[in-house]
Amino acid sequence: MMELRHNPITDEWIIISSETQKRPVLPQKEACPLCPGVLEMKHDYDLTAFDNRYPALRLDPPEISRSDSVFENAPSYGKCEVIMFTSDHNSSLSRMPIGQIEKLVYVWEDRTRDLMKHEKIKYIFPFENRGKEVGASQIHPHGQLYAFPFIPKRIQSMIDAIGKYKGCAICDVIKAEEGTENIIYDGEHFIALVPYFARFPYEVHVYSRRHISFFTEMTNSEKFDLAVALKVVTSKYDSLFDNEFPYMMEIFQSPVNPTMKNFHFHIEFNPPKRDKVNVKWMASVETGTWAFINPLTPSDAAKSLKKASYTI
Amino acid sequence: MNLFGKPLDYGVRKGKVGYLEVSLSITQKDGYEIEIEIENTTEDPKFMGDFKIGDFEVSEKILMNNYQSWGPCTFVKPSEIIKSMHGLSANFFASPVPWEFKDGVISDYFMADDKTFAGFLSSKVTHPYFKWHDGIVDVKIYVGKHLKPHEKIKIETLWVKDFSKLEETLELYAKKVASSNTIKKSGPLFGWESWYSYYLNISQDSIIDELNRTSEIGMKYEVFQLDDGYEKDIGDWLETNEKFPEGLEFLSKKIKKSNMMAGIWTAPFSISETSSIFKYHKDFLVKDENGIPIVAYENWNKKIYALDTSNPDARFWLGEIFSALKGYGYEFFKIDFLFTGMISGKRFLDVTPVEAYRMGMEKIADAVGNTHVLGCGAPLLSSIGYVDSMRIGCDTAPEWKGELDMGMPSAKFSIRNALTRNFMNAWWVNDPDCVMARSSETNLTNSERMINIYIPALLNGQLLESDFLGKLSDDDLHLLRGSFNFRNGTSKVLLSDKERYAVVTKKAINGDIVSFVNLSDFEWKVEIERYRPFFDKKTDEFFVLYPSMKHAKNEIKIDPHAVAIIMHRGKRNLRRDDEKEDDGRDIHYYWGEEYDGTSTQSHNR
Repeated sequence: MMELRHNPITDEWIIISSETQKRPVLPQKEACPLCPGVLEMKHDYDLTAFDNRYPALRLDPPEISRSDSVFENAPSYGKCEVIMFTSDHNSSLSRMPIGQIEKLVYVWEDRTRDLMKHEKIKYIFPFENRGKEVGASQIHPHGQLYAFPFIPKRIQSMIDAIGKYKGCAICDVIKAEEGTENIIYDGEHFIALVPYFARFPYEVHVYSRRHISFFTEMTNSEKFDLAVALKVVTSKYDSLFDNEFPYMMEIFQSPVNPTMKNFHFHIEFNPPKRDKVNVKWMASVETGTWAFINPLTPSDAAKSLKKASYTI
Repeated sequence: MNLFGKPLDYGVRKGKVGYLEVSLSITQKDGYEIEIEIENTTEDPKFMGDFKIGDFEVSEKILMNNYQSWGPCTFVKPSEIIKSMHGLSANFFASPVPWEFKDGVISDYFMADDKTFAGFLSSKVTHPYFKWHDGIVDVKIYVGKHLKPHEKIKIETLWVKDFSKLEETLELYAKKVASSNTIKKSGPLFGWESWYSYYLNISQDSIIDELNRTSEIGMKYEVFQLDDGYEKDIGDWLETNEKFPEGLEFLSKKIKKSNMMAGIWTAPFSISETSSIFKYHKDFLVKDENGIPIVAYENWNKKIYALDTSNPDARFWLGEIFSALKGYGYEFFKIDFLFTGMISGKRFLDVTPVEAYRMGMEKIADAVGNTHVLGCGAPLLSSIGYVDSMRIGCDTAPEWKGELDMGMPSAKFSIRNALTRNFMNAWWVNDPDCVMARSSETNLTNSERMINIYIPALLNGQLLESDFLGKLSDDDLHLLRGSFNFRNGTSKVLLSDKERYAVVTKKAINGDIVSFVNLSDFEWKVEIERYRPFFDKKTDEFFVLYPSMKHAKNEIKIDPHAVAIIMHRGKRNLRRDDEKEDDGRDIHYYWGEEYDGTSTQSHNR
């Protein structure tokens, strides 16, 4: 079963996809389907982007039987891609050379440029789930990309907030945080900081200093600096508790078809860990109300992350 | 250059030196190549010591090279240092021809002034060198054995070239030497060794503690090497002292269980006056004319004698030691104080010191087979083909020690030699000596530590670390890990002057890099644009200072004892190949440019 279903109570679209249930989980290295020549990639590779074998959205979705007026549905149009960061099974953003992450930024840019050509695509969302705590089914370093035929609910709330705010909230946050202890990477073109309003313990946002909306607007120097910022943040995460730190990395670009110039490109890292051992769960309050309770004061998280060692 | 009194020109030339007739066959090959043959023209066997084949006037400053690993390779004004050299006139550590220091400054194997380079392409039979005195350089060769009546031997070939760029000439020299010798070389290794943390205070327990810590800190060393301090005595290599009660095989097995190559230090041609081998086998030692064993050097508060490697019994003994060590499971052999095998003296066979040395090296190479040999304290040219890697500078130190440039431990001069001898990477993997990641128990400043750790990585030689692993902070470990991303490149060292060097590195893991190393006590201002001809042009290029990752302006200032590492970046041209899976799914392959050198295989450390 593949279709989109509208929830009239919350006015949000749900993706029904029984295909995703078939995904394999955490295989041993010998059986890793993402390693060169095993299953997904028939030969060696540097980086790849490919259609998910178990997609929730596809450009040729199956036909649906139309529902009545209460239960609105739609074909699962869109694209679900897997993006391989490297052929090195044991690597990660935190351990990859800068050049490899830089190439990944170019791949994200290329995927954005490619997918925005499809008129019915409204939002392109690259992300990475790292660690079993956030449901990663493969340890081989990779991310995914969803190209939605609608504006997802949280993106809509960002758009609504942009409409209400005079100017650009991210540009103002950058100005307000300049020189504070909350900044953990202070780059030429990007900064990474623990936001004042962090929802998750050790949440980090990466903002472009220039008001840009897409990967496709970045200069080569900005792409490089973004790669550095990602390396610094993930490297600091790993040294925070001296283990592979799980996180959800979400990349927010402007909607497409049409685009929104006033949308400020940014990346959020939402790590579930509250300390070395315990996880902050998305429990009733967070899931039911979207109100987050952060058990760690963001400035304390920033202090720890600022102190954490990193490798470039 | 004059050869036997006549200006250098191609053709055949003969000269008479004492009992010797010397034939020179001179051809033009990127300069002049001079093949040398010597003949005892008498009816009696004659001992051949040193002789001169030519001389040339040089400019005030020359590039001087010492024959062995620890000795300096640097620019000097000989007239300023000649007096300080006199003290070396009885020291084999400094030279196989120490008597020459009485009235000159010696550069072994090669030398250059501001326009002419002269270098010998091998040292398989004799020891070739240059002797500066009064503004003149004599081209000399030391034989050190009897030639039979009318015996003719072909010896080392000399190459002479007028140059405009010394760096290019050194690279060409390295290639010529490489093709005149058989090279044994394997890739650079990353390892840990005990010397610069424990020195002689190493014990079985402490090395096992360190071994256990390697997994705790997540460093994937390829080699784990026990240095000096385990042996019962210098020469008694298979017997351990009381600090190693379970012996050497026990340790190698422990190391191998941790998935590393077990490494061990020896000084195979050195025999201490208190060792069992000295007590029972004085016949194994190099002697003077009166049959008295010659003291090669003093260390460990002991007199150290030289193994006579021309003696078949001594060679058998040597082979048995290394066969035993290999049998125990050792796969990495750091062989040290090798110059001892090449001291002048009376040996079992009438061979030159160089020939004797190479007989000893060959025996070790045969015994250890296809394992890794790291030479140290070694006559450089004579060792080619017997070592996979070679120390090319003095011992480093946890302090700068920038005053005495005489081969004694020094962080400064160890790195200086790594820079000036970088071209020798064509003969083996250069070992610039250990890096020390520690921020405690060191007198190196943070910027001096950056030089100590990052320059070896940039030069892509051996990377051996020597720290108490339990005392490394997170920052120390990350500093070391960061350096790994500067390896795997090809570096050219530009010799700005004796204390300032630019290193242009291409295709390192972190891409193309230019580094400016300031070993001097003064600030150095550099204009990056001046170095433009050494970079490959990039579209939309920019320069980023590491580790601040800020854009580098054209003019940068480098503090004394500091390095500026600058990443040279530009537009990435990813190639994209589109394929269709059998089930109709799209797959896009993206490839980084070949020239950029960024490996997809990250260092998982």
